[in-house]
Formats: sequence, C-alpha cells, structure tokens
Amino acid sequence: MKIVAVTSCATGIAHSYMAAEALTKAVKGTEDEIKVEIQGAMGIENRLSKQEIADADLVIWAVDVGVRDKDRFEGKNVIQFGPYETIWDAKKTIIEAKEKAGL
Amino acid sequence: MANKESFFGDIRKHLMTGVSYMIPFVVAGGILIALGFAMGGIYVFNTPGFPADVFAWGKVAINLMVPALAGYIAYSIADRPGIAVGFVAGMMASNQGSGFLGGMLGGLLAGYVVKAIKQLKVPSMLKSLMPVLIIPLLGVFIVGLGMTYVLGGPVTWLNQVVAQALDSLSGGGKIVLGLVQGAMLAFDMGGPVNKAAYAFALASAELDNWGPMAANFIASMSPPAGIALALYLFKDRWTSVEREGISGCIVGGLAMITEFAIPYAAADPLHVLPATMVGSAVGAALSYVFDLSLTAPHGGLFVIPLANKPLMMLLVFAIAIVVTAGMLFILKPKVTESEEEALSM
Repeated sequence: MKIVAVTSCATGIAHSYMAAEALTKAVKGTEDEIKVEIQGAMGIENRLSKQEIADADLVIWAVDVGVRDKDRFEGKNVIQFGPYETIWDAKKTIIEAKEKAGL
Repeated sequence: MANKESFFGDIRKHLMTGVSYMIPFVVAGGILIALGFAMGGIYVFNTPGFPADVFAWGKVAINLMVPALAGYIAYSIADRPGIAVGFVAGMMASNQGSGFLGGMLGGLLAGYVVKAIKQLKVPSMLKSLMPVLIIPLLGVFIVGLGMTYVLGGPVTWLNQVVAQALDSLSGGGKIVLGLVQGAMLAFDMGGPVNKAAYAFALASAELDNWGPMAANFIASMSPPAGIALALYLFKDRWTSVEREGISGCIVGGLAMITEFAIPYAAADPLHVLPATMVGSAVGAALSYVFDLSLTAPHGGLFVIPLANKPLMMLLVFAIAIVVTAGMLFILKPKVTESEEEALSM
C-alpha cells in the first residue's frame, strides 16, 4: 500500500523528525511504502508532490500545528493523529489509520 | 478531508501553530535583552550606547511576540487571509495590556471572523476584491469592535490579576507551582501537557516575569539528562540498545530537547515517567525557591550564563539530574536476560 504522511510539531525541531522516523521504521519489512513530509522549523522537508498525494492509498497527518499548503490534499481522506502518539507507537498509528480509512 | 477532528482538538492545534511561529521572536528578543543587561547593567536602557541598542533590538523582537502569536493562530484557522487580521488583533492585545491571553483570544477571533467572511457569497466581479479589500477591512473592523468593546476590558483585568498573583506568590505557593509545572513538563516530554506548561512560562515572560522560564529550563532538561546519567551509572537497568542512545540523551539534556527521553519512557512508562516527573518537579520547585530567572525561552545550557544566578541554576539543574537518576535506580527493575535476548533476535 502506498502511504504518504505529514509530520509537524509546535517547536518543529524534535517531534516532527521523530514522528517521521517512527513512521518510516514502522513500515520496514511490511508490504507498505511510505513517504513522509516534515513540516518543521526549517520549512518543509521531503515535500510531497500533488501527484504523490493523489496516488497514495492512505494519507496520514501526525501533526500538532496547522498543515502548510493544505490544498494539495483536497479530496483525499486524511487520517489525523498527533505526532506524540505516533512516536510512541507508529505501528499502531498505521493500523488505526487503515481501519479508519476502511482499508 | 473527511476526517473531522473535535472542535477543541482544532482549537488546540490553532493555538499550537501560533506558539510555534511565535517562539523565534521570543528567543531572539529574550536573549538580546539578556545580553543588553549583561553588557550594560540593570539600567541599560537609561544610558545610550551599544548595550542599550542591543537591548532595544531585543525589545522590538519581544514586542512582536503577541502579534505573531495572534497572526499565526488566525493563519491556522483561516489560512493566508487570516494573517493580517490576526496580527492587528495581537497588536491590539499588546497595546491594551491583555498580553498573551488577549493575543490568543484575539487570534482565535480574527481567524474565525476571516473564515466566516471567506464563506460569504459574493458576485463574481467582487471576488478579486475579497482578499485585497473586503477581508482585511471588514476583518480588522470586526476584530477592533470585539477587542475594544468586548474582550479588552475583562481580559486585561484577568491578565493583571495573573501577573499580580505570580509576583506575589510566596514560599509555599511557589513550591506548589514548581512541583506542578515540573511534573507537567516531564509528563509527556514535549507533548500537549508539556506544551501547556511551556505556554505558561511564555505567558509569564510576556508579563516580564522570567522566573517560570528558569523552572521550565530545569524541568525540561532534566529528563533526558537524568536518564543519561542513569544510563551511565546503572547499566543493568537498561537494554544494550537503550544504552547506545546515551549520546542523544546528553545532547537532549544540554540543548533542552526533552523529546530525546521519549524512547526510554515509551519502553517503560510506568517506571520511567514517575522518575522523570519527580526529578523535574523537584528541579522546578527549587528554581522558584532560589528565585532563579532566565530571560531566554530556549537554548539549553548555552544560555544559562544569562540567568540571574548562573551557578545556582547549574546547581539546581545538577540536583534535578541526580534526583531523576536516583528515582530511576529505585523504580526501574533490572533488565532480565529474556528481554535482552528478545532484542537481539
């Protein structure tokens, strides 16, 4: 399954990156592929293109602050979490997101 | 975006967005002000010269704190058109003396007002006038009404009450405040509870009271630093993988990034969290007892020389670290062989 995700947090220096790392680790060794965009204090890193978002089967936001350039996600079913819970258990985040998206 | 979040969840996210854009202003402003004091003494602003200039630059940055907060809260709610109206709402809050609280409410007001205006159905020939004329003009007008005639009075009053309460806190009250603040900061290490406590320190800073910020530093730095000490001293309490993370914990402790402690807390929350909470609570309470204050909202060990009593602050930090590590020694069971084996599989 193709997954795209956005992570962000209030200070944008630690949580955003840790959530991204946790998500990337969580899909390792599974059938899923993931690309994670980090919206941190330095701006947007690893930016998702409109096409990548359109092609994704599952869109996850692990965010604490408003997502930048939201219009890219128009029409997609976005499943939202906090970065915090994602860091603690990203595998659970992905399982829950799939359930919520009905996949 | 079909997945609806609760209204309060949304509000929290908007406030967080505002805080996240505000922090750089407070960092630059707070540290420059502290440098000005360090170079020119406590009456630096009375004698023209370079130190007074540095102090003045810091003041400019810090005065943008509440406008930036309100502006980006409104941005989070209403997107780009919210920014201008939000900034104006924040400036109004600043001028009124309703401070951080006024800025938060002003930003929310501005955001929802702009969002509502955006949804007005206008003839297509007027569409292009929306962002350049109608939204800013009508938005600022409505926000002005709200801030001046509705929110201004009561919020300014409330703000002053909070400021006085903070200033007049006596021994026992300070200790309780420190214990609660410290425990909150360590409770979820950068999560929502932690950020609520951090927002309290920022709000106090806006009232020119930097005591809570000093407590915030100690309580935010001691979880990773205390865990680092425990990793070094009590090797049998941790798995080999956990021990490899010691450098991250040291960096997190020195740079005030509490989040580095998360993996340890996540692996064993019931034993690790009480330990870090006790350490942070003790550290924060002691910070109040010794009347520490620090005019910088972030920067870890690197800005401690700017504290009012740097050596005392280091001592309190050291105590908090030792208490955290000591609590870990008491609470955390030894790693069993089967756990270690499970890891290597």
